[in-house]
Amino acid sequence: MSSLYSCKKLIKYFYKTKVFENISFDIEKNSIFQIKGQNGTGKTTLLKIIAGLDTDFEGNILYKNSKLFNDTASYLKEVFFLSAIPSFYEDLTVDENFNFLNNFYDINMNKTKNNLFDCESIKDKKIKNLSDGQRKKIQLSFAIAINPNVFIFDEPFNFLDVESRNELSNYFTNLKNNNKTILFSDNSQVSHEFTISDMVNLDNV
Amino acid sequence: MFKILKIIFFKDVLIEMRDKGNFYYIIILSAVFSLVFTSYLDEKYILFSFYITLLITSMLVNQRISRQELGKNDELIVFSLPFDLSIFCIAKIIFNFFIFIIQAILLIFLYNLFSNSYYIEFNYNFIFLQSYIF
Repeated sequence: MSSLYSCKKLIKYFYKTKVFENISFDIEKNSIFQIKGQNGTGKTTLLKIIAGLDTDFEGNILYKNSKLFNDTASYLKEVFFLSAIPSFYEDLTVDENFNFLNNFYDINMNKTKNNLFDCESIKDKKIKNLSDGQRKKIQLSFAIAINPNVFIFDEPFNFLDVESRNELSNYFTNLKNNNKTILFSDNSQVSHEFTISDMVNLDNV
Repeated sequence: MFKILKIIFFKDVLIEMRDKGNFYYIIILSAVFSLVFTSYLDEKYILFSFYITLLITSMLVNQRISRQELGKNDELIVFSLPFDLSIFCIAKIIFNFFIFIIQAILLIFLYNLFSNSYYIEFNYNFIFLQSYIF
């Protein structure tokens, strides 16, 4: 397998506080890569750096053998980052949020209707009236509809019930089989249905 | 670019027409400040009163408009969109401009109503100038 990402000697500081230092790892194409670590070890920060959303770090990241920040806009079309806490326009309905974001991505709207979580029943509800679990499902449905090459999930199993966690776990394998690469962070000790290809543990750095 | 500006602008209008109600907020604030200032200030300070009302209201409204773009975790909702996000700032400025046109018109009517005379003339250039300043 060819290496999709090559991260070398990544160092991140928040002002004078060290978050992590000298992290190096490779991420293979069509793999499921996990970032592990306790709270405050920099999982989200590392994911944001890989997603191209945080440029304030030292070290080198190669994506398909070229520097990550050469063309950020086209890179962001290939990856999709899902934050741990789903954020939407609270006063708009689920459908209106989808329609707004649909203007910027080439979304197959049928995919949001037929994908793993049922969003049809809540499509006319305002986001602020939904539970955290429902928001998470909408966020995941949206990511799947965008259908990027690389999914970057920050704590994707947060807020989900057991049934939905299992569905999402199965879907990870599905995505991998469809030539997608998945990077995710997870703090829970729960075992997953899918096989993790590789991981980096931020507790050990 | 104009297509994106249009999309963001209409999204803002849609949100404003919902529960956040900046428009109602403007109406209530403008009326309250106008009443307070006209009660305490002499008629010769009517233009000063108009400006101070516009300033205070616009500061509050600006803050509310920019908060729209923040999600539950205080991060930009659209932070991972694949284009330069400064376009959102331009869209917000255009949106503010339209809101303050409404505010300036409203204030002129209110001050003329409270003072029972035409202290501030209804002049299109004057209204556009206020919207541009704030």
